[in-house]
Order: sequence, then C-alpha cells, then structure tokens
Amino acid sequence: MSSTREAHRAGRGGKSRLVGRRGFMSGLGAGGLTTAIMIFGRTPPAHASHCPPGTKESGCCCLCGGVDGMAWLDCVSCGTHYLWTCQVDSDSSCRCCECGNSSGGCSGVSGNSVRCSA
Amino acid sequence: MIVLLSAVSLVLAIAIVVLFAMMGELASRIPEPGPRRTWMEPIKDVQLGRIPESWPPELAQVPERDHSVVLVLSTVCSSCRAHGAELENHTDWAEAALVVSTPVAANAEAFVAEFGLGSFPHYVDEGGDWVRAEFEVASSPVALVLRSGRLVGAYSFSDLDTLRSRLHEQLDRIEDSRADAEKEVETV
Repeated sequence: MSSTREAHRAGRGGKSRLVGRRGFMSGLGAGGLTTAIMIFGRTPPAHASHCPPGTKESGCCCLCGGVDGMAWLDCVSCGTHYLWTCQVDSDSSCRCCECGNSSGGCSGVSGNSVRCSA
Repeated sequence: MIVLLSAVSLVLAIAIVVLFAMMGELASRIPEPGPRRTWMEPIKDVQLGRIPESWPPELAQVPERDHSVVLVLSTVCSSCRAHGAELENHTDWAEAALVVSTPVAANAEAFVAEFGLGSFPHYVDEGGDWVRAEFEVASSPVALVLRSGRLVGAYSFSDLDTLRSRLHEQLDRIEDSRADAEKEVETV
C-alpha cells in the first residue's frame, strides 16, 4: 500500500513537473512573440497616391489601372503611344509610356509601361 | 517526446522572433517622412536663347511679356497633380502660363477643370508635340523662363513656392546687375 501511495505521489509529482515544463515553454514562446511584435513589428506609413481614380501610380507615372503592363519596347513601338518623362526628384525620373488612348480617360488604352532611372 | 515538442516550440519561437527582427530591420531602412527637400534644377539639353517659331493662340500673350514662366505639366505625371493643386495658391502669379501635355485632349481639359486652372493662360498640348518641337522638352514638371518670348531658362522643381522664390531672386540679381551696368555707363 505504501509503495502504491509512493508510486501515486511520484506519478502526481511527475505530472506537475510536466505541466510546469509545458507552461514554462508556452510562456517563453508567447513572451518572445509578444516582445518581438512590439519591438520590431512596425508598419511603414502609407503613401498617398496623387493619381486620379482609375489610374495607379508607378514611379511618378499615373497609368491606367486594369490594363496589362506591356514590355517597354512594345509600348514605344505601339502605333498610337504617348511618351513622357516625370521627375521623381532632382536625381531620378521615370519614363511613362501609354499605348492606344484615343478618346479620353483610360478608354482605348491597350497597355502601358514605366521605366525609372536614378 | 515532451522534451522534443518543447524543443521544437522553442525553435519555432526563436525563428518567429528572428523573422520579426528581419521585418523590423527592413522597415527601419524605409526613410521616415521628414521635412520635404525642396529643389530647382536646370534642365539639360534645352536650347537656351531659342524663340519658338509659333505660339498657340492660347499663349499669344506670352511672347509679348517682358517676363514669363510657362509651366509644363502632364496628365500622366503624378507630381503634376500636386502642382495643379498648388496653383490655386498662386492665382496672383501674373507671369505664369501653362502647357498641359496629354495623350488625349479630354484628359488635359479635365485636369484644368479639376484644379480650377482656367484663370491661367493655358494650352492643351496633345501628345506633347508643341512643347517637344519648340523647346525640346518632354518631361514634367518643368518651368520655362522666357524674356520677351526668348527662352532664358528651363528648370525642374519640387514645388511652386521654391520655384517662384528662386526665380524672383534670379530676376532681382539680373535687374541689380543691369542697374549697376547703367550706372557705370552714366559715370563714363
């Protein structure tokens, strides 16, 4: 009987050690995650686009959204295309190419492309 | 088994901490928004001294003025939209005129209407053909500075306040040196 009690006590002691280990490890992981998120998890500030609705900003170009990007050479070889350079800042600029616009807005635009340089 | 699980959990936790550390490092490399740098830079490959062969009727008054500044904007240029909005604060700028380069005229007309730029002399340059042919300019934003219709300067710029104040300083310097030269002549 006493050996059973002793075995039982040993078993209970073993279980509590196990629970303690698990709790310790869980706490360690959760604490590490929380600390990491608080210290390192910063969202960069959102950039407000200047481009009108229906267009998307790429470099400093406002290009018709919903239109597949084209290879640069395809765009500048396009029959009706508009080619213009915009300044990002004093040291860098982007060349904007729009292919196929004929009546206004983004109607008729079949593709666009941007090439930026520093 | 339990020890193995614990070890795996610990390794996972460390890996996630390292992942967030990397994200934080990347985020820290993105420059914080600070005071905006202002600039005004001369445009290269522009033929100074040039007088355009023709002026569109909308800009007919430009060659008649002693001093003019023609702002070249484009409907595909995102910063040009910011300058369009800035111009609302510069309606007193008597020397200013606009050329709005665009793939389609309707887009430029919408641009002028959106920012209320109708009070400025303005020309809708479809394809940018006129400003490219007359001034070899195919970029925006650009300010063309003219004296009696002759191109004396071409600049890209960050904002209209900077552009206007630096052009004003240049004009003051030119007029001061002109006044000094006249005094010398009188003395002689």
